[in-house]
Amino acid sequence: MRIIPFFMLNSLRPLWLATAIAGLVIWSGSGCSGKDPLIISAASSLGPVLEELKPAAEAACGSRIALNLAGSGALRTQIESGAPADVFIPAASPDMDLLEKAGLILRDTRRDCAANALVLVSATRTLADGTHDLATTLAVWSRIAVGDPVSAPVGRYTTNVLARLGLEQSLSNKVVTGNSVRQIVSYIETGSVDGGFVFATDAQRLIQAGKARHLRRFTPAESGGEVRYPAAVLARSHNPEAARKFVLFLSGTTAQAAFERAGFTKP
Amino acid sequence: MNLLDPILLSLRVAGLATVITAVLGLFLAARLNATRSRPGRILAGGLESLILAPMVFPPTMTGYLLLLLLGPNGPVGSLWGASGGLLFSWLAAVIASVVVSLPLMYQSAKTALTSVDPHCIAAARTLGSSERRIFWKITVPLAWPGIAGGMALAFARAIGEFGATLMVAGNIPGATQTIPLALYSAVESGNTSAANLLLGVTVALSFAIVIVVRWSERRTAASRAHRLAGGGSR
Repeated sequence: MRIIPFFMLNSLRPLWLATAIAGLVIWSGSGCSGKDPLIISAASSLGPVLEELKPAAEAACGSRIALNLAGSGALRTQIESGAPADVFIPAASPDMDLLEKAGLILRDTRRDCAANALVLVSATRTLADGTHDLATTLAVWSRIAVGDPVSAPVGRYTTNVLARLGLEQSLSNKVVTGNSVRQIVSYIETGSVDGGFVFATDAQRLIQAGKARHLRRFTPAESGGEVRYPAAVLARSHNPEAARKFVLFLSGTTAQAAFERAGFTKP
Repeated sequence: MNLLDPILLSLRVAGLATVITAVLGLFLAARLNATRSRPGRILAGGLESLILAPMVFPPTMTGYLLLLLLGPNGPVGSLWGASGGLLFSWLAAVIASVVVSLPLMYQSAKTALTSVDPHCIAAARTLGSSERRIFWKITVPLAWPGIAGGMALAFARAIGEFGATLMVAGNIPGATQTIPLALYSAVESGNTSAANLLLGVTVALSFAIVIVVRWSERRTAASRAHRLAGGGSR
């Protein structure tokens, strides 16, 4: 029995062509496999540094490495559901604390591999400099980008700083809330705001691109705790030996130099 | 940043997902709407809401549900045997794409199948054709523009799939990083040149989809006109 009428084959040639191409692509790509790599679930803000460190890290821990980059919360949910990751590096301690409480990480392997700081920058077009005190500078601004304290780690630190400096009230009608530090960065890049609170690493990139000016760096005491990036081997790692070596490698001189170049500080 | 990997992977994932979605969507649309009995109709209604649910859910929620389903402790993932269930594999990306694109295919196929003139089917039946033969030789060809449109929508949705894929397949360059995930990583890390390039590829792909659909519509219309004009079927 002919299942597909012949005229269809003819009149639908483009679609069959598309299907055939899709088939070829599927065929060509499906043959790739090798020894299981070490899966590093890391906060996406660490992506560029880890990508740069990948060859050195592979040599150090004797295993291929695959980076899985997403928001810290999404990565934690994946791990809680049993996703096959080996190392977890979130951008904030609370995500790691939750996994530690659930017994999903090897506790003795946890160590902070980098630190960051909260920085206030102004958009390039904004007429502001660091000579005045903060309150005077901010008084003339009409819009300031701040992270959402619930969903963005940067927002939590910002809230602490504003509370400590007593600026919450005077800024409340100027605040533009961003869901992630990336959103704040793009507000500043496009000049949609007069300035905003970002991490030192974002500030460095913005300033190097000529999109922002540095106004003030806040101390851990002002921002209510240090911004730390903890790393740990996961309890379900398929290769804990190599994973341990990877976490140790992150504290080594090669890795720390790379972190420093990207604007991170020593933990 | 290697840009060829995400492009090839996206085509592979969306291509396979479209094939599965097309077969599944057409089958479900034909089956669920052929039931006449009351309990059958209720069951069909329930299944239909299940198929359409991913249209209503935010993608992260679909991703979270799939994570539970495909994870090593989930009903599907535990059958798979591997230590991490189906998670972090390109097959997980295909499954996510199928789930989110099925509603579009199903709805298009349903509309297309119900718009076929029942007289044609009745005529074929009086001439002694089997139901199967009627379906493939009358219903599907007459409904084809709608089915093809549904396939194009499904492919487009699969190419753009982000939220659910990020949850179940991860964002592993070279293994599970599709175009939208690579775009996310590029934007997130401030790599604007890679982001612009991927944006260009996505725009080109969407153009290609529209061109293929319009071409197939024109060809279908032309061949139908040809047959109606007495050209005969080959």
